[in-house]
Amino acid sequence: MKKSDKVRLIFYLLTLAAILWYPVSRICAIEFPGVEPVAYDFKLSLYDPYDPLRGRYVRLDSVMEVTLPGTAENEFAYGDRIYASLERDPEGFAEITGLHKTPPANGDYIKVEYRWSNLDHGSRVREMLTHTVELPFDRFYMNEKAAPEMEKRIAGSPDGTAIIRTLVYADGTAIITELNP
Amino acid sequence: MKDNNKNWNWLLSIVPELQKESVLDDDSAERLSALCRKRLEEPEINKFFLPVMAVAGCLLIAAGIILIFNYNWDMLSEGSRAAIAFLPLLSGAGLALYTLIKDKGIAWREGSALISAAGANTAAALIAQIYHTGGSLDEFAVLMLLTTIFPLMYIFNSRALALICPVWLFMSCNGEGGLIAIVMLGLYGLYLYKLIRDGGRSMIFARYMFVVVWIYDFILFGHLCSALYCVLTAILFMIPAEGIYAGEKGFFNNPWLGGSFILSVIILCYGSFENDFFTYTDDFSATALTVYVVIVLAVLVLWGAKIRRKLFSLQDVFCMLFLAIAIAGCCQAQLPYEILCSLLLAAWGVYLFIRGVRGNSLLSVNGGMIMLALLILCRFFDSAMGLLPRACGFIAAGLAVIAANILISRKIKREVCSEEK
Repeated sequence: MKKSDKVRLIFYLLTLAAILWYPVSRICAIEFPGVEPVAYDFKLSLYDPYDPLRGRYVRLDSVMEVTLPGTAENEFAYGDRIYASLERDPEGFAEITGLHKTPPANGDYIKVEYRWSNLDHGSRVREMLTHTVELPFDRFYMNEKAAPEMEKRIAGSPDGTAIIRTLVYADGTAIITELNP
Repeated sequence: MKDNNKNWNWLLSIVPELQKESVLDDDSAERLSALCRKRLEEPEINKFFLPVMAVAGCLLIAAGIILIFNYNWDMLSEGSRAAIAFLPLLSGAGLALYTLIKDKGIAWREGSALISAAGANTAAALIAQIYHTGGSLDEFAVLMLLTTIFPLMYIFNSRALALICPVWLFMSCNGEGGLIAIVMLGLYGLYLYKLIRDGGRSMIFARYMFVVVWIYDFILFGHLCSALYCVLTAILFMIPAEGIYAGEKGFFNNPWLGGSFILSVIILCYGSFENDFFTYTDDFSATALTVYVVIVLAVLVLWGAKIRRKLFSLQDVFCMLFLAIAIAGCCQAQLPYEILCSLLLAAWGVYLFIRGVRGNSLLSVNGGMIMLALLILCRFFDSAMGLLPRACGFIAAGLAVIAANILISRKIKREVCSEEK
């Protein structure tokens, strides 16, 4: 074996380790988390697009709104990766109660992407802003026969939304585990 | 079997002439003609047919494999599906290790690089699909570029990965440049520079890829100062392109020449209208501007000295004037840019035309004429100038062209007559 090929071999083994690191680390973080994840249910609408390159899935309307005081600490720019505090509303579904630039010290939170804010005209306090954020999950992969059926069922439901069961981990990442009409 | 109808047809067509000039006797001419006719009757091999069909077959197989992996396979457990997701990666790894250990040739290296990269992409994408983790396309592309594409490209010296790398670069583009984008550009640019030094077809391939790199760079950083950025790019490509054109044959081997020329002409034509293209209004730091200019001047000196074996030519003077206009715009100097651009277009066009006539270069002549023709066209439609001044200008220019034509014709006639005497 030539010396140059030995060097290439060493670098290839290092590259292989780097290539394996991402999927293996994701699996370990999901299957063997240090802190048990918390289950949250989100109510989101969905539709079934056709994507031959990514398989069959339903696209979720993963945008949520939260109304907060218009203070300096609640100022964000479009595309900012921030953290949203999560709590359960009276019906048991997830709602966002605060937005933070760094992970909050207490409570559950999820990583989101900031979109925009609008003045909350419905509020009596003029300084309230309605912030729109995008959740980190926007697809749920399904069997190619189940996806269009799910879309029809959701479209025919009274509020047009599905219940998305997620597991929110301690670092703010979230995965979808179940989707029900 | 023959491989080209054209050659045999040509040979058959010159047999009578060769016979007439006594190069071939009757017997040889008859035998040569018979051979040509025999070869022309044989079926022709289309040398592109088999490789194209091979590529088409591979693409169809790849499409089928994509569809198989896109099938949900929800009848299997998550663990089983995750294990299957690693199969392409492990296959690629096995092939790559075999190639390196056994010191296999180029085809094996390219195949190993491609299959390893495809396997890595498949594993990451399928894990996200199985566990519904979500994620954005640009983050995925950056991860793949830094952990898979670039390392494999260097390790296996893979042209195939270099060819498809821009796809991932554009996928990683989220509209804003940052340190990671600069690092990725640097890694790709370094590899392309290595290909240029290798020479041959790799060099020509790298020249085309540099154009793609510029487009990506412009998307990320061009918005900082569009006019200056475009002008800098045109000059940076034009200077070495001139040297390459002087030393190599083949217009399509040198995409920088045509590309930089077209970009320069478009900027000058657009700038010659009354608009704010050169009046830069965004915040642009003097430090960044100084760094830009220093880099450009350093590249000009190095490339000029190395490629053309001389420091400056008149073409460089025009490039410097072009750059000066763009810098003045960036510094928000109050100058009549439309007049400056028109004058530069006219002077540059005349220079290229005269250079082409003197050096018998049709390309230079055509380049000069295109510049002058576009200048005339722009001024004809330029509403900022009054109709009467435009009319007088056009008539005067037309009379000057006719007068020049008459003078040159008389001069040629005198020269022909004196030669005959």
